[in-house]
Amino acid sequence: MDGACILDKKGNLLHNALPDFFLDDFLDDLARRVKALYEAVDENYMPCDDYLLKFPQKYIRIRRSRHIYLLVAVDPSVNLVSLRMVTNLVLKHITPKVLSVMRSQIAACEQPPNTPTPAAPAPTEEPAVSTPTEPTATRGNKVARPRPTRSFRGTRY
Amino acid sequence: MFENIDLVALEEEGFIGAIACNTNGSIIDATSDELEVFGSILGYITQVADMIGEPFGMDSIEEVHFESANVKAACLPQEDEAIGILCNSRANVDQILSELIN
Repeated sequence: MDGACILDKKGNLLHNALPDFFLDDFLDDLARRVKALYEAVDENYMPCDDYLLKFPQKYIRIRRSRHIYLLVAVDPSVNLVSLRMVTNLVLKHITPKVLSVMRSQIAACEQPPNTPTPAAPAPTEEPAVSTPTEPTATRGNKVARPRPTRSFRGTRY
Repeated sequence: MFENIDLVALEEEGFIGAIACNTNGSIIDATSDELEVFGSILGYITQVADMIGEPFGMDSIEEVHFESANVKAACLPQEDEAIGILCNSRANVDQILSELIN
């Protein structure tokens, strides 16, 4: 696989893992053209979710779910059955909840960097007392969380 | 264009129909009269697919395959025309294409 990108139904980029030779300046055009392809066939023929565009150099697989468009650029020697299975997983994984997380991550990346904060006040002369702090969750260091309450036919367990 | 093909044998493999249209959208040949709507979108699909490959630096598109729940279709742009084929969802489109064109 050479690269992939995920667009939402409005054509906004949610994830960009396109190959280096793809110029980012064309991302808006790409989204608009993908939408145009789907709309043309949906409205004039029948709704089709899966497209395979065969170019001499590469294949481009475009798939649609209820929430996103997934575009994958692959070598023509790719195993199309395996590609379908992998893209099935991606399409099923991207639920509205995942979608909102992706959108918030993009929004966080697009925010301007924080302005420098004023200097902190001088420390008081209180003796430093070591207080137990809550453990922070880090990668590979799991924190015990309260067990979620579960119930079966009204009986909690 | 399609007069020499063995329709019965192809239909056993899931073939539904084929149509050839020129760049204006006019039908050159078709295996059935019911493919007119399908033929009308071939030119546009080819153009938009070509434009999707453009920012990747691709040359002109060779084939466009698309599928719905019940139907598989392929569009092959030629010099001054486009050939479209329709198959059912279980058909091997590549195999049918090779039998139809060769």
